[in-house]
Amino acid sequence: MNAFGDITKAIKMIQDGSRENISTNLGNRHKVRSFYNNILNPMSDRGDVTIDTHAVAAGLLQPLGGSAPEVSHNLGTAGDTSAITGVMGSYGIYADAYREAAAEAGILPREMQSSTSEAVRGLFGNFKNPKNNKRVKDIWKKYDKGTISLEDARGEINAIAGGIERAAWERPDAPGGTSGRGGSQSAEVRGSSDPGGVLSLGISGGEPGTVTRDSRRPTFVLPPSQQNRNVAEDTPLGAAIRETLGPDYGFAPNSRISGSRPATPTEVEEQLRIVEKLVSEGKTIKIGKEGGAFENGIRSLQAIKRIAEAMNVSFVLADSMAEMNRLKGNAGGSDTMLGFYRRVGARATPLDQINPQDNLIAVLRPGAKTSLGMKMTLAESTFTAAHELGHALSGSALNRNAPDDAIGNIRKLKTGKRTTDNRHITYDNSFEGEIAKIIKKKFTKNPGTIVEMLDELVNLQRTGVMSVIEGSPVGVREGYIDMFNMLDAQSKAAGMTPARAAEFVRTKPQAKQMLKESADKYEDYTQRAAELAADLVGVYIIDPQFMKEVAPKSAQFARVFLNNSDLGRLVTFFSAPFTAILAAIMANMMVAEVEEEEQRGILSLGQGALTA
Amino acid sequence: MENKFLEMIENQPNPNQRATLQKRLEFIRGKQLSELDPAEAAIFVRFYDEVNNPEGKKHRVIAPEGTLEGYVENKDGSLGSTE
Repeated sequence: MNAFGDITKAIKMIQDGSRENISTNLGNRHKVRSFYNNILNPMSDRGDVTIDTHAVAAGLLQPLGGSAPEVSHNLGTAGDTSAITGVMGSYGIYADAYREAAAEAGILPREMQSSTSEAVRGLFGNFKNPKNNKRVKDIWKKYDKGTISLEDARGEINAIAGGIERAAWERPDAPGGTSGRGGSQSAEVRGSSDPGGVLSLGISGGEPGTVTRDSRRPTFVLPPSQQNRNVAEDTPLGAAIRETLGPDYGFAPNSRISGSRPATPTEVEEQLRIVEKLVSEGKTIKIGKEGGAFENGIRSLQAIKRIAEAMNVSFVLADSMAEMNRLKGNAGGSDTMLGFYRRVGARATPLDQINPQDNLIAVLRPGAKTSLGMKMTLAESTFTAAHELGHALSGSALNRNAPDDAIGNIRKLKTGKRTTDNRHITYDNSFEGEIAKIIKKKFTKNPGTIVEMLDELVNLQRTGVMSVIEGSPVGVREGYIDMFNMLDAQSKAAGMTPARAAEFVRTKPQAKQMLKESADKYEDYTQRAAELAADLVGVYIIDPQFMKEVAPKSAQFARVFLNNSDLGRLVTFFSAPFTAILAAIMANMMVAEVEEEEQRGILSLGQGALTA
Repeated sequence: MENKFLEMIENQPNPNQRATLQKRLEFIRGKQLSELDPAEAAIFVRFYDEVNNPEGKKHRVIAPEGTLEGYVENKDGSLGSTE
């Protein structure tokens, strides 16, 4: 009859789909409610995780069945419960453990649960009986007494259980087994070594229209497998790339890793709640403010989505690349962007005139496959969202009454050459317009020290790795590490040793030429005023301490222009005492100029306060 | 469907349960699903599935990508059951 009871509840929920009715019929059990949430929204970043018998067994590494006390305690059918807090049994302890482990691995908690549950079923599936259960418990007793190490205990258990038997879907002989799954590392690399052994770089430029700002990795996507490795120092190939591109290029991806503490899943969840509250009350979100909820930045994807929506910008988490292309108005296309911001009309729109029909941020959701078959991580989606929000903020009007003409005589940062490429053109009365003016100023006779902030920004792109969530740092511009990964994979596929690959890059004119051309093309994109502005704002949103540590002048520039603009009502950026000290040293040489410009900026932002 | 339901009633070890289910059957007989309350509808759905689902108690492996694979098998190669 119990089965009827469950079906009855399901029918009640179908008949009345209100939140209250669904909640009532789900009951108070943590597992049931979490399972519902996991099915309803599998890609949610709110940390729901279904702790069932297998999850407890995996958590304790014991062959437990449904009647085991540990399982009953987890489910709350035995042990303590609290009528005050609603906590039932030990469920929360396991759930938090899974959340922490997932954060370390850079995956969702429910992904950690399902993968370890499959493994523990494969380990204990045919092993579970009273005698074996006792054998496993005896091993844990030895560990508790300190006679064996944790590693030994795990090893012994694995040995007596006979190792992990593969899941049905994983067996090569099973229908739809491994053959249909994701490709190998080499298959994910765009381009491959050609028969002649020439290293090829499949980098191509090309973003459409001035009003669509694509993601940080427009042309190639690879996993951040080298995330914490300074390849330019640690590998012969990285050193060769650095040498070939020259000192001006400063190839050193991942050499500056943020020391900020990454957010825990609980903090991420709390941030969304706070953002919801502030937005609903029309209050300002204060990023980097000491002691505030966002002192270490906003690390919640959903919170960033909510801020965009508070700007009246539509925000879509796309399930697939096909959906990304469709949203971009290129249905059936093959663009490889991980996110974009699109607005109708290139001019800077005042905050109160932005509407969701004409303004859209789209981000590939965590777990969705990129064009090359890699899965987006939650951290990658989160920073991509922050970057696109950076585009929305830096492209909007600073002052609703100021003129917003196109800025003329735009120059490319890398060469100083004038360009009429409309992807470089930005409009006055916007933050990205102010960056464009700084770029112009760099090539005047008296550029002033403030242009040094451009070096900060470029170095931030080239070398920076931010803290986002535990175990999942993200490069500011992962295209640089992708460049290394591509060459590394191609050289390995060609059977080259690391030394030979390095020599190849250093000595083969064709390889050198292609590397330089590809790198320049990439930076032609990343060093546009709009991209520099979006990275500045995006990094400040995610990791303000890092931003202020490695790019204090840029951070100050953002505070001057954004905090004193109409946009400051929505989001303001703060400088903590630590960075105030740092900034005092770093910005000492520019303080007079900035103070002067700040005054003018506040009074007449639209007049081009920093125009030479 | 009614025969299946009667079969289940007969197999109930608890006489009180048998009586309850017998009463339910009287309410359900001759009615459409839309005419039943949730508890009666649950019985209807369960037995409709038992009689009409060609998969029976077999069930398929769902791969991590969400695709339906072959039927779940026991160690001896026989098909696994949802029961």
